[in-house]
Amino acid sequence: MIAAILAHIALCAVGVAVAATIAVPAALIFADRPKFERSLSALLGALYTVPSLALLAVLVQFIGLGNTSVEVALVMYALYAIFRSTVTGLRSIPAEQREVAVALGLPRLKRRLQIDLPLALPAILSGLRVATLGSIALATLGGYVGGSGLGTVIFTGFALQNRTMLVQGAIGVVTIALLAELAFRALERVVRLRASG
Amino acid sequence: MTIEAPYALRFDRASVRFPGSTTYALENISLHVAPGELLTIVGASGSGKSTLLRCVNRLVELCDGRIEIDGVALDTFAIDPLRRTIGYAIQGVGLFAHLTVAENLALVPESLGWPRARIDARIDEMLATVRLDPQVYRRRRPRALSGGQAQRVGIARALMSFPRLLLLDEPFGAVDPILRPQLQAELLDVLRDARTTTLFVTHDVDEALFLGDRIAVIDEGRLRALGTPRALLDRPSDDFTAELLCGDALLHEYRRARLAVRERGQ
Amino acid sequence: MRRRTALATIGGALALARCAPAQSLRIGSKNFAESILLAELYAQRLEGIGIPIERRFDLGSTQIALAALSRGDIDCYPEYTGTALVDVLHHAPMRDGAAILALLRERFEARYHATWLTPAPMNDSQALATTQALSRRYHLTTLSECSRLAPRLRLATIQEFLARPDGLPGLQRYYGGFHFRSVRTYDIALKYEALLSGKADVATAFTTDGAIAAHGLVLLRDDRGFWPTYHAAPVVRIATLARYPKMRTALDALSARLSTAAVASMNERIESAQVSPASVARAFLQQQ
Repeated sequence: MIAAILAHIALCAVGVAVAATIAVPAALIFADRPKFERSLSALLGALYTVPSLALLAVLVQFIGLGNTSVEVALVMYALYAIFRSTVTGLRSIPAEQREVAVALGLPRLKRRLQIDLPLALPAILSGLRVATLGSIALATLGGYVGGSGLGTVIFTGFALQNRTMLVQGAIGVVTIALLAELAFRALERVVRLRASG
Repeated sequence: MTIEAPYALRFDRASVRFPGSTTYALENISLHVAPGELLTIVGASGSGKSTLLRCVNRLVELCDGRIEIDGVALDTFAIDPLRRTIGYAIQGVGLFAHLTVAENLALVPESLGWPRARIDARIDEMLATVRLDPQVYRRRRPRALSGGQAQRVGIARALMSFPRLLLLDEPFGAVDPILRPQLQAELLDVLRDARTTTLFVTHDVDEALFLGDRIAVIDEGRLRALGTPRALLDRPSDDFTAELLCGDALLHEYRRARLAVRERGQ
Repeated sequence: MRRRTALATIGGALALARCAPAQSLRIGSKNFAESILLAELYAQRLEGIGIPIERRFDLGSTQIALAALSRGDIDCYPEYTGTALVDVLHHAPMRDGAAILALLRERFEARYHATWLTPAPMNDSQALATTQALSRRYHLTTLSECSRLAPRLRLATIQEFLARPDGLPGLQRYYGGFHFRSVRTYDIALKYEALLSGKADVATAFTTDGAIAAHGLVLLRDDRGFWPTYHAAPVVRIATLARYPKMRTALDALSARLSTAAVASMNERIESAQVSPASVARAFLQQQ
C-alpha cells in the first residue's frame, strides 16, 4: 500500500515536472505572439478533452503497457493548465511594469527570466496546483495499462467488488491530494512573501 | 547669422499620431537641449508631455519629423542598446517589487556586461549619492521603502550606468508634498555632479520653474513656449503661458521671488 | 524492508518499461472480475504444463487490451465472441457460432497477428432477470412476454444499457414494446438489490453474474434471438502459439469445462465471498 502511494506520487511528480518544463518555456516564448499562442492553446485544449481511455488506447498502441504511457497521458493533460496559467500570468503583469522593463533596454531573455517569470509566478503556481491535483486523479489510470500507483489498487478493488481495496485506494488518493494542497499553500505563501518583500 | 549651439538632443518637426486617432498627440515639435541642460516639460495631463518624453526612448514612434541624439538620428541606433544608454524613471511603479534595491539597480549594468565588482561598487556609490546607506538599503525590497526612498532608488537606477540622457516622468508625483522640495533639491545636487542632460516632465508649475534650466510648455500636443524660467515669468510669449505660469498677481510675485532666491543660490 | 520495496517501486515507476524475462508468456485481462478469473484460469493451467507466466491484468478497456496484444506487450487474454464481433469489428450480430469464429480468426490474424482458440460453452450474454415470485405472478419467462408486460413493470438497469444499441433501444426495435412503467439506473452491484427489495420488477443482468444463482433469479429466455452470444476464448498471438504449441490443447481442454453455470458460481465466490480469483481458479483446476 505504501509502495503504491509512493509510486503514485512519483508518477504525478514526474508528469507535472515534465509538463512544466515544456509548458512554461513555451508560454514565455509564445505569450506575446498571439497567433501562435492561440493555435497552441487550441491544440493543448483539444488534447485536454480527449477521453482518457481513448487516449491511453492510442498511447499503448505506440508506447506499450506500463508507466511510460501513463506519464505521457499525464503530461498531455497537465500541459494545458500550466501553459494557460503561465500565459495568463504573463499577460496580467501591469503594463507599466512591462514598459519599464522595455524602457530600460533589458535584453529579451533577461527580461523574460528576471522580470516576467517572477511576476507571473503566482499564476504559474496556481496552474501547477491545478495540474498536480488533476494528475493525482488521473494517475489512477496506471491501473488501466499495467502501470503502478493507486490505480492498480482501486481498479482491482472495483473489478472484484473488494471494498477494502477500494477504500484503501481512495484514502490513498485523498491523502496525496491533501498533502499536495498543503505543499502548494505553503509554496504560495513563500512566493507572496517574497514578492511583497 | 545664427550659430547653432551644440546640442545633446534635438527634436525637428517631430509629430506623433496614435493609431486610430485623427488628431496629433504631438505636432511639429522642434527644440534643442544643450549638453548637461535640464529641460522641464510642463503641461496639463493629456497635453502630450509624457508622449514627448517617450519618443526619446522610442516607447512611442514618430509619424513625422525626426529626433537626434548628439547629432545622430534616433532610428539609426539598435533599439535596446539605445535604451540602455538612456536613464528612465517614472512615478510610483518604476521599481520591480520582487527584486531587492541592489537587484533593481544592477539590471542595466548587467545588460551592458559590466563586471560584478564594478556593479557592486557603483551600487554603493549611487545609493550614497541619493543619500541612502548602502549597508541598510541594498537588500531591502521596494515595499519596505517609503515613497521618498523609492523615488531616490528610482533615480539612482536611472543614473547607474552613466546614461547620455535622463528621462524623468513625474518622478515626485506620488511623493508627500512636504517631502518634495527636499527631493527636488537633492536631484539638482545629483545632476549638477553628474552633468547628465535631462528631460523632466511635470504638471507642477512650481516644480518646473524651480528645477528647469529652461521650460517647455506643452498644450494639446504643441510647443507653446520655450525659455528660461526668468524669461517666461517676466515676458510670457502668449496668453496660455501667461495664464499657466503667472496666474494671479500674488502667485506671480511669489514665483518671481522664489526664482530670485534660486538664482542667488547658484 | 518495507522501505526497500517502496523505493524499488518508485524506481519501477520511473523506469521506461518493466521488462519481464523474455521467455515468459504474458497474459492480460480486462478490468472486471470475470475477465480476471478467466485470465487466472489460463495462467494457472499453462503454469501447470511448465510455461512461465507473467500477469498483466486489469487493462482498462478492450481497445487497450488489443493495442497491447498487437504490439506484443501481452501474448494472450480472454475475449468474448460477441464483444469482438460487435464492439471491435463493428459487425452486425450473427447467429452461426462457426461462422462467427471463422470471421474473427480471419480478421484478428490480419489486424492483430492473433488467433482465437476454441471458445468455451459458457455464454456471458446480456439478459433480463426477475425473481421467481414475480415470474410466477406475471407468467413471465421470455423476452416476448416481457415486451408486452413492460408497461406494468419497473426496470432496474445500469446507465450503459440505456445507450448501447444492443441495450434497451435495440430491444424495443427488435421485439417491439418494452416501454417500461419506470426505468431507474443503479450501480452494477445495486441493481439486484433493487430487484430483491421490491423497488424493481426486472433487472438487466449478465448471464454469468454470480448473483443469479445466489438469489435463485430467473433469466428471461431470448426467444427470438436478439442478443449475440458471448462465448469466452483465449485470444493468442500467432507467434506465441508457434513458440508454445502445447498451449492450444491445454487451453482448449480448459475451455471445454467452462459452462455458464460453472463460471457463474466462480463469479459468485469472488463477488460475494470475496475469495481471490487466484484461489477460485486454483480450486476449479484441482477438481478434475
